[in-house]
This record gives sequence, structure tokens and C-alpha cells, in this order.
Amino acid sequence: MNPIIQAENVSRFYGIILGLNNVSFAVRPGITGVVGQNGAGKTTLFRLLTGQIRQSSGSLRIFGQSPWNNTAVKARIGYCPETEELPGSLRPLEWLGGLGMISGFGAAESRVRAEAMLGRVRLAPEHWRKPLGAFSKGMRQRVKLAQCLLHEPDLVILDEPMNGLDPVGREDFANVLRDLAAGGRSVVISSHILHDLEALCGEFLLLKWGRIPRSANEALSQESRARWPESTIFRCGSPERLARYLFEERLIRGCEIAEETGVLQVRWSEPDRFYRDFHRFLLESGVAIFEVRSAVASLEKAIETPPTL
Amino acid sequence: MSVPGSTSGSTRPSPGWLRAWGGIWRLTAGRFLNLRHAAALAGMVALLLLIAIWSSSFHRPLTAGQYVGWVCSFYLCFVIPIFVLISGGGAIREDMRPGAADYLFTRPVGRPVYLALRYAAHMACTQADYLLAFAVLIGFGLFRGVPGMLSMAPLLLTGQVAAIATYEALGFLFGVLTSRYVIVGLGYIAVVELGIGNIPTQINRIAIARAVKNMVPPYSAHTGGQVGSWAAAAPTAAALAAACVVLVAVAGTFLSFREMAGGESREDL
Repeated sequence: MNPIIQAENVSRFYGIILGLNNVSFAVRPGITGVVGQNGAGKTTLFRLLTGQIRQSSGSLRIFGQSPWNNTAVKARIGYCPETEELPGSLRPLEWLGGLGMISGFGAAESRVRAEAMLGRVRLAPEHWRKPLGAFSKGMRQRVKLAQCLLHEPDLVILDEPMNGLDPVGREDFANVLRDLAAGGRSVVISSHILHDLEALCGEFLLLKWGRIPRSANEALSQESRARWPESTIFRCGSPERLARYLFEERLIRGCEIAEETGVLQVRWSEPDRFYRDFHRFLLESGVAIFEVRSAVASLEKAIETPPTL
Repeated sequence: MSVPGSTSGSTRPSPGWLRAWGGIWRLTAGRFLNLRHAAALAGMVALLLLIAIWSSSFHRPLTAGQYVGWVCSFYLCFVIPIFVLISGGGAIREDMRPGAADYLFTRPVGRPVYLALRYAAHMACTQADYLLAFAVLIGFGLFRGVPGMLSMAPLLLTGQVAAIATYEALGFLFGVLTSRYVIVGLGYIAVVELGIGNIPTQINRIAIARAVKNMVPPYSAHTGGQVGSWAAAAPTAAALAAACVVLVAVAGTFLSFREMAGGESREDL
């Protein structure tokens, strides 16, 4: 598949402050997660993608064109920024109706679209007449998503859209994004809620200090994430007995036991052998198992890894 | 968030300046049509009326020259420049804040076009606001029995419309150029409008207030034009209209090159 976004050696500096430093990447159709700690350059990347700022050097193409001041590209992009600022005196239908018309809808069509999008993001109709200034954080996120989807964009860019949403809201949100991806749209999303992102995204782009470290991004590739975890946590009736059994089977190379909480964390020597036949091993151990989970999610692990360029 | 509401089958919008104008007009008018703004406007008009009552109390009887002179020098050339310039600068500056720019300047409308449409919408709403103040001032003049008040009203109104349009355009330019548009605007009014504009040489023509004064009846008589003549006011009105076009074009050009970085580090530029 041809990449929708193609960046080659893109740098962006704010005076002496580093925003992005010589990054190259390609984003293909589907849902792509952009991860990184605060100050990693995610918002700078999004502002470049939405044509609000120019790169200091390098080449950035979206749908084959530069996004800077390019209305043809902007017509195909929907952007949901991180900021929670909304025009407080306006009502959602007024705001969305106005933005829809700026995007190219007629007055009546814009209103119909606004109502459809508010329904789609499940903002209850009784809130449609309230001014945006009276909205809660979660309601603001829904309205922001609605404005982003208003004009049928081919590429949806979402900067921390799940902030302030409860778990049900996040799942609703994820369903909308999956629906968009299934409909052929591309989604680029950043979030600090890593487990949601991991469940949602097919591809990841990891930013660290304005760069895209190759090793960390390889660790986030689909093939790497398909591998078994290197470390696993068990909550069980007798962690010591389970650890002894796994050592005898030569499955693990180390472990930590917290007897009082019934937690055993193991580091596998042969994770493939265990996970292929885990039910047999656990039954043979004779230990009551309450919970099994990966010790570190691959996203968390990638973010915490020291930068290797 | 329901999936069945998907509208993936519908057609993509076709961006254009006419539809964009409709959207910008809606967003602008929505900010003007609320109780808070109405209360502020009512307060301003009441204050203006109190000042008119106070200043006219020194003149009995109140002549046309005295009252129209006061309306012109205080209202048209002092109140309107300050408030309209700040309002215009504030309007575009508000759109350039990260919280607004992210929604507005990511839409398929060129920035110069956006600025021109936003200027037109904001100027129209400001004109409507000041119509109320104008009506109150004319009404007060009629109440005080100022001779020829009604016959002078159309030219006074033309002067008001021209002043608002021009100062609004200047406010937009200052707003695009700097976040300190209030300080720059007040400095401009002090130096150019009140200072240079009152120097009795040809250099005073750069002052907008001087041009506005030339349009209204008593001042056109002083400058040799015909009292209350549309023919005398027309060239000045055309010059101010041209100034508006130039100011908006320059502001649009600057805006098109400006980056919406959004960070605090860029906000003060």
C-alpha cells in the first residue's frame, strides 16, 4: 500500500528549541499510534501534518503534496487537537454548523451533518442547546471529535483524544476509529493511555526527544508485538511452589516472589515453550492460578527504553 | 459513539469562499448575539449618553456646530477608533490562539480569504453595534432640539461607517502583526490620530480621523467643501474604502506566512 504520509529527514526547530530532529517515516492506511513522552515532538508533528507550521528542513508529503498552506490537502484532513479550548459562548450545533460551512457544506447540509456527527459521538441531544463553555471535559472531547469527522476526511489526526473520557467513552471512541479504518480512512492518533492505543493501532510511531529511534520502533513493529512477552506476572495460591516447578521445567531464568500478595514475576528463558502448552504446565504445577498477565506492555517497554539511534 | 451513524456514503463538501463566508458569519454573529455582549453594549451606550448629557449641559441653547462637533471629535474620532481598533485586533488574535487556530486554519480555506471574510463579518457586526449608539446620539440631539439634526444624520452615519471599516481593518493588521495590538493601537491613536492628525500641514492627511472629520457637515464647511454635500464626502469615502482594502490585503499576506505554532514560546511574537 502506498503511504499516505511520507516524511524524509524532517526537522523542525523553534529558535534553539528542538521540535523534531531529522525524522523519516511513512504512514500507511489504517490506524497508526504516535507515542512518546511529553515533549517528544508529537504535537509539533501534528502541526506539521495539518499545515500549521513548516518544517525547517526535509520533505513532508501528505497525499503526495506538501501540507503547508495547501487547501487541497486540508480538505482531506480532519484534526482533533489536544487543547480543550472551545468557543464557550457558542452552542455545539452553531459551532459545528459554522465549521461545516467553512469546510464547504451548504447551510442546511452543514446542520444535518452537525446533528449526525453529534449523534455519532453519542453526545445526548439535551446537551446540544447548552453553550460549549458549560461542557465537561468528556463532552468537549466528543464535540471535538465530531468537528473532526464533519467533512468526511480521508486522514484523521487525533492528539490525545481520549483525555477525560471514562472507560466506556474510550471504548465508544475506539469503535468509531475502527469504523473509520474499516471504511478506508486513515487515522493517526496519540494517547498516553497506552493499553488502549495498543489494542487499537496496527502500526506505531515512537518519538523520543524529537527523534524516531530505530531500535525502539522496530520493537513496536507488528512482528515484534506478535512475540510472547519476555516477562509474566502470576497471582496464585503459592508463588514459591509455582516458581520451583517452572525452574525444574527449565522454563524461566529468574523470578521475584511477593509471598504476602501471592504474586510471582518470572523472566522466561523459553517463552514459546511455555505459552504453547501453558494449560498443561499450570495444571501440572498444582498451584491455584488467579491471574496471568504480561509484566510490561510492549508500548510501555519501548517508551522506557533508553534512546538508541 | 455509534457506528451505524456512519455517513461514509455521503458526498465530500466542495469548499468555496461563498460557503466559507456563511460559516464565518455564523461563528462571528454567534459571538455577538449573547447576553454578555448585549449587556456590555448597553453599558457602553448608556455611558455615551451620560457623557453627551454632561458635555451638552455647558451649552444652552445647543447649536448644530457644537453638538455635531462634539459627536465628531469625541465619538467618531476618539471613542470609535479606540474601541473598534481593539475589537478588530482582538477578533483576529482570538482566531490565532492555539485553541481556535487548530479548528479554523486546518480548514480548506486560504488564510488571506479567511481573514478577508472574517474582517467583513466582524465589521458588519460592529457596524450593527454602533448603529445603536448612533441612534441614541441622534435621538439625544433631536431631544435637545439641535437644528438640522435629521438632515445631518445620513452624512454622520456615512462617516461612522467609514471610520468603523477603516479602524477595524487597521485593528486586524495590528492583530496579525503582534499580540500587543492594544498597546500598538493606543500608541498609533496617540501619535498619528491625535498628534500628526492635528498638525496643520498636509502630513495630517495620513490620519483617518482627519478624513472622517472632512466627511461630516460642519467640518466640510471649514475645509472649503459644501456643507452636507455627498459630492464632497464621496472622494474621502472612496479613499477610506481603498485604505481598508489595502490594510486587509496586507494583513492577509502577513497571515498567510505566519506559522500557528501554538506554544507559549511563539505566542508573544
